[in-house]
Order: sequence, then structure tokens, then C-alpha cells
Amino acid sequence: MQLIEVQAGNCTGCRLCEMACSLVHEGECSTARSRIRVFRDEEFGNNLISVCLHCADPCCIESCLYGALNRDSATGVVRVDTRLCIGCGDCIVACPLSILDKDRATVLKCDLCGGDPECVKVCFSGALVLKDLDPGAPARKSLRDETSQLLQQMQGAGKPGNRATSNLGGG
Amino acid sequence: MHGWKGQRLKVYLTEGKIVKEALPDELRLNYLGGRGLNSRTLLDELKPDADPLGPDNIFMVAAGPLNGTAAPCTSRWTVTAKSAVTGGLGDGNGGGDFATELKFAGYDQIIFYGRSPRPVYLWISNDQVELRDASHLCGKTTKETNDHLAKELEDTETRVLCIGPAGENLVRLAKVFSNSTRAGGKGGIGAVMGSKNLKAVAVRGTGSVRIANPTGFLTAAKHAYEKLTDSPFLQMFRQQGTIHLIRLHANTCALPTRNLQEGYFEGWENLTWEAFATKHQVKNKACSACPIACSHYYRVKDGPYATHGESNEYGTTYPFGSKCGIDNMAALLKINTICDMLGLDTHATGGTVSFAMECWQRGLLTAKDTDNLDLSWGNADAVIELLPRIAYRQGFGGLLADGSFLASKQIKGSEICLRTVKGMEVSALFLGPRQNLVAALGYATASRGADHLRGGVLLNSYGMPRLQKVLGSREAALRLMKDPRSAEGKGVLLSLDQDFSALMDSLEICCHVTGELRQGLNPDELAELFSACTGVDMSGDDLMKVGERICNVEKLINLRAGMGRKDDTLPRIFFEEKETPRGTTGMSEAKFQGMLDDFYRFRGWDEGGVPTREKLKELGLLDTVGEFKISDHSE
Repeated sequence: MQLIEVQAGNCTGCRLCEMACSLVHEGECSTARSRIRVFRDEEFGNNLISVCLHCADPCCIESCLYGALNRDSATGVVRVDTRLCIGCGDCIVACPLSILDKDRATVLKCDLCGGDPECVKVCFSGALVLKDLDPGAPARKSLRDETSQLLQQMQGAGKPGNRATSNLGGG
Repeated sequence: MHGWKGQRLKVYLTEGKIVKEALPDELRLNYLGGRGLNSRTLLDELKPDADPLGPDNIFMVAAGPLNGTAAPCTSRWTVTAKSAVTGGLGDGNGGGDFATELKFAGYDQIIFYGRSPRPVYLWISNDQVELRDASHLCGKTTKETNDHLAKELEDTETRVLCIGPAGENLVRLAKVFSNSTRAGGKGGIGAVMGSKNLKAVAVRGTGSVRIANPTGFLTAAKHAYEKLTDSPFLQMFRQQGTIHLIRLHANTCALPTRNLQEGYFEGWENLTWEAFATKHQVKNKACSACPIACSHYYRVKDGPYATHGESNEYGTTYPFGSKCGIDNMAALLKINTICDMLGLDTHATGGTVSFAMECWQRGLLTAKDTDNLDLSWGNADAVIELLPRIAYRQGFGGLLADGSFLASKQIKGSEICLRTVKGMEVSALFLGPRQNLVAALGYATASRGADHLRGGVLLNSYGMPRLQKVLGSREAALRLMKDPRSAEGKGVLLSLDQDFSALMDSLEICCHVTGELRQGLNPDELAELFSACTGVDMSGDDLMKVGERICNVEKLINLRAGMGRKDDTLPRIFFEEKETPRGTTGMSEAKFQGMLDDFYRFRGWDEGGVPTREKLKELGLLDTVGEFKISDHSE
């Protein structure tokens, strides 16, 4: 299926992907409400990109007690049913690649914009590329594991904000 | 109105009090944000006789309506205060993503008054705002301050605006830094921040910037990305960064060399991008929302200059390179890292060091004055020794810490080595045979002292159609562009250029991606982005008018500080017209004065450079007249 290939080594840290994602999904610009997140490494530029990989064995679906997560059989996209999601965050514990929106008590998950992702269209560094990929390929699995591990390490050293601080701001 | 957050913070440091207030609509519509907003606030709120490093000065940081959106290259923040160098307007903008985070936290501007009794930093997490003890941050470098605050606040996404040791020690060459390496604030704004006992502003925001017309805005933004990424000029920017200018200036004999005594540097090939890329360039780095990513990480693996860092610019390569006669790239990278860590401005510090080197060349300084440092041209090791001594005000370093203008008062006979306008070091001007003379006018009249970013350097950046409209015909516009060394029409060129620079600094969009010359965005395209974002309908011409208003406000600030026509000038060395094998260099003073007359006339200012009543009325600024007795000058 057509998936986003993530080449974090190319990422320059501009975060236009976050701006475009929140703009098309929410009608406003916000990194906290973007389905894709970039965590910048100022010193060396080893930026970290976190976005749902729509993998073949989604541990998020298994972890959800409310049945709010499922895979669309036609497109293969792993999606969230916001009517059922209560924002408990269990799926984020299982796989930290999506975003918990505490304000609205729901999970924000990449929906691939119906097959034509905006983040890819505004990525000029070659970090995000739309490609025909096997969601079960070993490379995808190791990307998921490595990214999860790095995100957890960051949380240990100083937590990434969207999960650590409550979303007090608005509007 | 969308785009703006509509809220600003007033922080009274003496009392430790913080007040939130709405950002008045009048300010948004007439000054946009960023530079314009800060300049108008300075005009309104600063006591004219305030000591720049005393509690009466005001220190501000502001974002614009487009920060924190998908509009390309809207990463800039502007810091403003009364200049510790010129005594007039002092400001500057920097990149990174501090402004983006400030908007997400919910604020357009922060104004600091007074002086804190002890070192503090301002902590902002959305609507929680606190002054916190910063005694544990004292003496820390910019990078250490960033790292320390991210750890202390348990949030790696905290964005920090801070000063290094130089700012703390009230060094007038100090800037304000975000993301450790993005600097802004000409005129010792870092020292002003230090004088307030304010070490840093740490901000974290999880809110959003609302967009009036999301679909129209995304379309306009995508059009802009396409235009910028298609531009061959900006493609070169992505590959090389601003350092590509070394080759250009070397080829046109306009590379500022040995304190601007010459325009040709024999070691220039060691300063080029090619010299940088083959050994030291690592990868690109972008500021917030930038599709270009012109900055590069660098690494010097081993040897005496081993270092790593980011942002090797033209503005760090020439001030210590050709200007100080150093042709060793590894040493220049080390110097750049040291300046970033200590919080020093590379332009002004390089200007001051090269001034001292010319004093050495002329025998005005000797080893017993310089604590045994040998200041011969090209001595990189001496510069590396000297920089911390400047930042910590040790011995001879303490003399240079106030900048070349004040230092020269203590070095007998050194006035001939000064290259300053209004006390500010001339950054990169050399009137080579192909240099357009409008640059000289730009440096002489820039609102914050000698300046390459306030118009006159990037010619006709607002676009040919606008110039044609003003001059009446295409022929007239072309004639202006044709002969770089003629004085004709340079006043028109510069006025429009200054207005445009004020406009983009107030929208806080990066100057690298604007302007026709670079095939960047023009005023009409900026207006399209602005209107779709804010819902306020404004044309390119309306925005240019805002730019003109801001330039006039800044002129009023400087007039009030006692600066007039006598200060809109250049160091003598530029007025020496010389015939060289490569062509004529320099210009006559009479020619310069003619250009200045032309510029004042087109601006609607009298011959002393004072805005006329009619001009102030046209710009809606008559309310400010009484206070400054402008009428005494103009009638």
C-alpha cells in the first residue's frame, strides 16, 4: 500500500509537516494538534520524526479496551473512531507514535489524508516520501521499534511536551 | 482577527509583577507585529533620557501575525530596546523556533520594565507565567542555559531565549540568542537584557494559531513554497547558505578586508563555501517553517581548532576572516562557536577586533596595551584568546567590550581606524567599482546604525513593477538600475527598500526569501498570505504603507535621541574616491550629500531629515508631533 517512508536523517527540523497537518485536520496551525511530530535535536540535527506507520501488527488496536481503533479493510489505514475513544492513552503506552489530545480526550492518529498526505507535499528535505511499501516489512517494524525507543528515552531525559504537559492553551 | 494571539505580557521586573493585556487592534493594523510593534511601543513608552543599561530602558520581544503558521520562513522574533551603542533605536531579529512557541503559548509580545533585584528567568507554559530564580544559570553559556532549562523544566520542547556571559557582563557587543545559535539584537540588546538581571525567557506552548481562511491560506502558502524552491538563487542558498557571498564579493572587489581598508583579500579562496564544504559541512538546518534550510551544521574533527556547531554564515566568515585578515576556515569555525557560546555578535565583535588590529598596524596599540596579545592581521590564535577576555571584561578585553566607538576614546589617535555610523560598526560595506552606491546611503541612514539589513543592499527587493509605478515608466526604472555608481534616483530606491524591510521584519518573515532579486516573495504575495491568515484585507501597497509608517516611527525615535542629518553619514574612508586598476572605489562626499538630499525629499522629510507635518499626517502619526516639537523643525 502507499505509505509514508520516513528518512529522519534528511530532516532539517522545519516542522512544516506539523503546520500543514494541523491546518488540514483542524483548520488551525498547532504542533500539539498535529498527527505527525518532529522533535528537534538542536546540537547535531539528529531530529526524530514520530508518525503512525500503519503497521501490519498494530499493538495499538490490541491495547484498546474500547474498540476505538481498527483497520480499514479497504485502504489498510489504522484509524481511530473518535466517538468510541475516551483518551485513556493506553494505545500511546503500547505505541508512542500517535498523539494524545488531553484537551479533547481523544487520540490523534495519522489518516494518510485519504491517500495523499499533506505532510509529504510540504516536505522539501526528502525526510517524508510517499511510496508503495509493505506495511509488514522488517524495515517498518524496526523503524517503529527504534522510534518508540528514542521517544521513551526522551521522556526519561525530559519529557516531550505533548504527552507531559497538559494542554492548557486554546484558541 | 486571526493570526495574532491578541495578548501581550507586561513584566515589571523591579516589583516582580506580571500583567496580561489585550493587544490593541490599532497596533495590529498599523504596525503588524514584531519590529513594527516593538518600535511603536518604544516610541510610546521609553523615557527619552533613559540610560540604555539602566532600569528605565525597556526590553521587548515580539512575534508577528504569521509566526506559528504554515507561511514559509516565518520563524523570526524581534528584540528591541534603546540601543546601548547608538542611544537610539536598537533591535534585531533572529530565527529558530522561539517565536513559534511563544505564539503557541498565547502571546504576541513581552515587554520588560525596570530591573530585577536578583537574576531571574521568565517561565511561560501556556497561561502560567512566572519569574523564577536564575542564580544557578549565571555565567552559563547560551548552550548550557538551553540544556539546563530543558532539563530543569522536564520538557525537551521548551524554547529558550537567553544571553550568554557577554550579556550578563553588560558587553555592548552582546546579542540575544534563541535555540543556542540564532542571534538577534544589534546595539548591545544582550547587554540591555543583562542590565535587567534577566538571564532567559523559557517558553512552552501547546495552543494553536487560528487561520481565517484555512483553504485559501494553504493554497497561498503552497504557491509560496513552489516559488521559493524553484528559485535558483534559493537553491544555491540551500546548498551553500549565505557564505556563497564570499566568492561574489571577492570577484567584485567588495570583500571587506583589514578593517575595510581594502576590498580585496588575497586569502579569499580559503573562506569560500567550497573550502567549508569539503572539510567541515555536516547537514542542513532549518528554522521554523522554512522550506530552504540555509544553515549548516559543521565539525572540525581534530587539531587546535576542533569544534562543532551550526550556522557558518557570511556574517561570521567575513568579520573575522577578511576583515581581520584570517584565512583559516577551521579557526573561523572555532571563533564562530566561541561567539555563539559567549553570546557575542559576530558583526560588531569582528568590527571591534579589526579596529584594534588596525590600531596595532598603525602602532597606536602595542603589546603592553594588549596584555601581550599580538594583534597582527591574521593572528587567529590571538582572536581566540581575546574573545573570552571581551565577554568577561578582563584587561584589554574590557576596553573593547564597549565596542570600537567607545574604545577609540581611550586609544589616542585611533579615530582614523573607526568604521562606525552612529557608533555602530559598519558590517560589510566596501564601495568597490561595481558596488551600487545606494548601499552607502543605506548604511548611513539605517535606523539602528550602520546596517546591511535595512535596505540598500538587496537592490529593488520589492520588485520592478512597484518601482515603475513610482517612477512613472519602465525606462526611468531601468535607468536607475543601470549605472551603479551614479547618484540619480538612489533616494527612491532606498526609501522603498527600507519600507519593504520594515514590512517583512514586522511580519517576521526571513529576509532571505523575500525580494524580486532572489525570486522570493513580493509585497503582493505577502499580502495574500497575511489576508488569508488574519482575515484583514490588505493589499501589497497597504503593507508597504505600514513599512513606511514604521520607518518614520523609527526616525522619530532617533530624532528624539538627538540624532539628525549629521549622524546620517559614513566614516571618512568611504569618501575617498580613488582610481584603482580595477576601477573607481569610494565616492565623493558631495555626491553622497546629493543622494541624501534626494532620499530625504522622496521620504517627505525636510533637509535636516525631519518628517514634515504633511508626511506625519498622511501616516496617521500627527499625534506624536507635540511631544517632539517636530513643527519647530519643519515649519
